Amino acid sequence: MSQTLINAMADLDESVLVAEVNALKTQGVPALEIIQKLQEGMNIVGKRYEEKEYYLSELIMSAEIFKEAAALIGGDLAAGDAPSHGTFVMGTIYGDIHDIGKNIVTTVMSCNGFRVIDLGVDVSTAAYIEAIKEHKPQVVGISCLLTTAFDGMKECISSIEAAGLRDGLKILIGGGPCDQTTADYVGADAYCKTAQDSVEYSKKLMGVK
Amino acid sequence: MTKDVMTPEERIQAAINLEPVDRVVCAPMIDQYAGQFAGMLNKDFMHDWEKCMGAIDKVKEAYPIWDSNPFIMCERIAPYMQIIGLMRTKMPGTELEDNASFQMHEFEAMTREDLDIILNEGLFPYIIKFCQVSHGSTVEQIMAALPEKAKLHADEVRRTLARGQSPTWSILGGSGPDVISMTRSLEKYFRDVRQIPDKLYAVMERVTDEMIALLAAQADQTGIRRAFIGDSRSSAQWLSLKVFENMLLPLMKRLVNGLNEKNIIPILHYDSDWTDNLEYLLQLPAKKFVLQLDGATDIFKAKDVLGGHCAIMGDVHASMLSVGSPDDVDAYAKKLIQYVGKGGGLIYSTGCCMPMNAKHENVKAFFDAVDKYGRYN
Repeated sequence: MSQTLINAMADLDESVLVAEVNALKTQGVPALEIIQKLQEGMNIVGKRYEEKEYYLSELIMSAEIFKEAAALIGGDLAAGDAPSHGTFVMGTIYGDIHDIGKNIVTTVMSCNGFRVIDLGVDVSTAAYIEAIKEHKPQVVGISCLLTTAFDGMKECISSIEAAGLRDGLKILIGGGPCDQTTADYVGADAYCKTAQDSVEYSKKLMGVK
Repeated sequence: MTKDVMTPEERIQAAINLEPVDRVVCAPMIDQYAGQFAGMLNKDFMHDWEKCMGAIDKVKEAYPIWDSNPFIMCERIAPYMQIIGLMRTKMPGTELEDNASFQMHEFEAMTREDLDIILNEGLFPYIIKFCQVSHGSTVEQIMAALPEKAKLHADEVRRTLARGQSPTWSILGGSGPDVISMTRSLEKYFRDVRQIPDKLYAVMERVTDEMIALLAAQADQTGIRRAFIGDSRSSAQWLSLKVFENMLLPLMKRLVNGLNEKNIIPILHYDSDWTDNLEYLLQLPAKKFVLQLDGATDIFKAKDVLGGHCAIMGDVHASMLSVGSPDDVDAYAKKLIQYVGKGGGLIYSTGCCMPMNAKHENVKAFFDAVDKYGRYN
């Protein structure tokens, strides 16, 4: 049974996947077990993306299908106790409600074995600080689509530092108008042009091959 | 400093035809920055047409070298964008604080079933339904807003000409993929691409044909036959080259050729990273379109690939203009004008819009670069 589910997730075959999840649910297979198989399929999605067999559209679609399947069994994307490479906290900075870039990065990081804490959009500095204290991430991602949000990013990063939380923590930024100039301005550790950049940076940081 | 010998209209036409120009066309996209430059709150700029246009006048007065206006405000002015705009929008002074930038919020306003509206009834009924769902507009409000917006459109063209500028485009439209993805949402659109490609293609083909007819009618009214065409979701940043070859490139050719047949030059406003798609654009007719880039695509590679084939518009980056220095802007503008402008075909511009929070000294450096590096006479 499991391989069908894994393949359906990896091949983004939504109809097979939904049918299989419903069948497993009827058979009484524990939700956590189903979620873990879906996660295995997501790992293959991530690998295909790395190998350029899949593009961002497939990644985005995989997250949609995963969420749909998880909802069928009453789970969620972060469910399961599968081991992760580390924890990644991500949000769109306050003053900015755009979520497409943020959602792509959280999906790609999740596909690549990171535990992802998605703070949503229009995230306050206080919410970032609270999440860092609670989840103790190795990496924080801050995104924006507006140049007017740059000052918010800068303030947020300064406040994280002032709160004594910057040691051992790396902060990445990204989003439509961002580049290295922005990273320098806001005091980030790195600028990620693509979602894959955030994966490579984090893997390197955590010594993942 | 030498003086201009070409009119703005002669200059932009020559640039599109890859012919010599007296100096580079200077065509930054200026919207919300103008309000900040004029010292007004963005709520006034976004809600009050006269104040908005007055602010843009002030930028032109300060920088007379700004000779071509890629105008956009008739599409963005709050009273109509929140009734008939192609995206749900939060505006300063109403949903946002008084001096905030407006923000667009994409969601699944239209379902997969709604695509049948396009196939069975056409684009207009689909847009009507979108406005009802996205903005809560009534049909009466929509029908009242359309002619009012058309008046602003005509007014923006008139004011552009009155300032002594060429309208970089006189009409604004979107590609089939952009129309569908922005109304369906990016996520649902990508599902459609994978799950119902044939139906989706038929839908986008119909949108393309109706867009051509609509823009041709508008061009007849404005008398200037250049069209803005937004397309930010067809690039290899998002979709595979296989999908591009099979679905998106044929639609692109249909749109460009269709507009060309109506004597309209499309300015392809291609946000996102098109670097891997550049070679394909050689399949579009030479000197019959302009490629406008936002900073995500490697514009220097675009010149290597498409130099001698089409004019290229762009792309001083938003980040540089907002948090960089005048020296950064000057150095980039120099490289842009000297490399992309070599042999002609550059329409010197910002990467998408001038940031609302661009530093004034950076904007000055942007304009100053035209006389420093962009004079050929």
